Amino acid sequence: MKLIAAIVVAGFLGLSCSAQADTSGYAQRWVAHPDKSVVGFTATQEGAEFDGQFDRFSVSLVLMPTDDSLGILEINVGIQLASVNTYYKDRDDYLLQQDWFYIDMWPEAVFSSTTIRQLGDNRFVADGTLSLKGISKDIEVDLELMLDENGERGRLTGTAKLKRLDFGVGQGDWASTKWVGDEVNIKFDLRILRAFE
Amino acid sequence: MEKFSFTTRLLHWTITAFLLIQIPLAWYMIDLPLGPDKFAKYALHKSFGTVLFTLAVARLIWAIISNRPQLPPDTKRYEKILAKATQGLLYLLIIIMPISGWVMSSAANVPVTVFGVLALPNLVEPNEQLMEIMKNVHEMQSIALLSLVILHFVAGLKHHFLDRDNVLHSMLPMVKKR
Repeated sequence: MKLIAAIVVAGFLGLSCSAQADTSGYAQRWVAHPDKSVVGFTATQEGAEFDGQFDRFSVSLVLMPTDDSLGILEINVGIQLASVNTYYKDRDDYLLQQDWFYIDMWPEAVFSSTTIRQLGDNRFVADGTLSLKGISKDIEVDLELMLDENGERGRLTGTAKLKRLDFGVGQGDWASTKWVGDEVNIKFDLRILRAFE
Repeated sequence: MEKFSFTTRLLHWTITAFLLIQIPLAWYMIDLPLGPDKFAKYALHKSFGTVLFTLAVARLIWAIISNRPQLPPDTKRYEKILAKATQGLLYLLIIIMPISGWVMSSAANVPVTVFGVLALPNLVEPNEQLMEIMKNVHEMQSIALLSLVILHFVAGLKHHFLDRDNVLHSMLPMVKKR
């Protein structure tokens, strides 16, 4: 059900993709399977790293067939910040408040790619804009794309580094990085599948 | 009764000092609102806990390899048993309490760091249920520890003021033998 919802949501995202998307040689719309994908992060508290993840997100991609594989034209990610999960409820609840994500005001973080460069066979760098807590900044996301043989399923992994204070995440007493580090490493592992419309 | 060795006394009183900081610190920090101050106190508690654990292990090893002075010959049998049991449990608690705290931190996905320099590995995967269990375990252990410390302290005073022997002196840092 979640999967269908994700495909429907992707359909409404208004990507530059036409009804001909399923024809080879044209751009194809792909989405991440929400239950089999992980969008996680590593942050530091009291000088030690801890992992967390977001349980609700949607990812849509536009892939373009090349001679022997697929290139990535576009990637759009929406993350529901209320779904933050650091395996410690007190901390999760705290992160939703005004000093941190302030989800009442900005419930979602959005990444939209602007240009995507292909580095190697499967490796790409997506330049794009991350909008988080009302602040939009350019970030760079390293991507690796692996497709199954039938070309209808695959895996997209990636990493990005960002600084929480660039987005005003952690204010007041938390603007100091003494107890919670500024750098946050994003990492994701998505099972992707082609969306046929 | 002979005095305990310098090493034994040093370990005994250093551990005592840390315990007398750790227990009130813990009571104070748990009620603080979530904020940098709370983080600071927790970080300190965990750092001290790591030091305590190291000292406790050293103390146990030293207790095994060194000779300890005998209790006065007129000590009653039940008193010997009670003293041994109290001291045995004190050893046990000062060793397992830091571990239960470490497991609790690991289960809460908040790794233990020693004075912000050394991050200890997590002992278990993040697990909120286990965290709640360990929180209770750690708290119960602290109550048991404090009760035993009081019993141990009162017993020392009893030796000094009622029995008028030198058992208390044998562990004091400076005081001369009676």
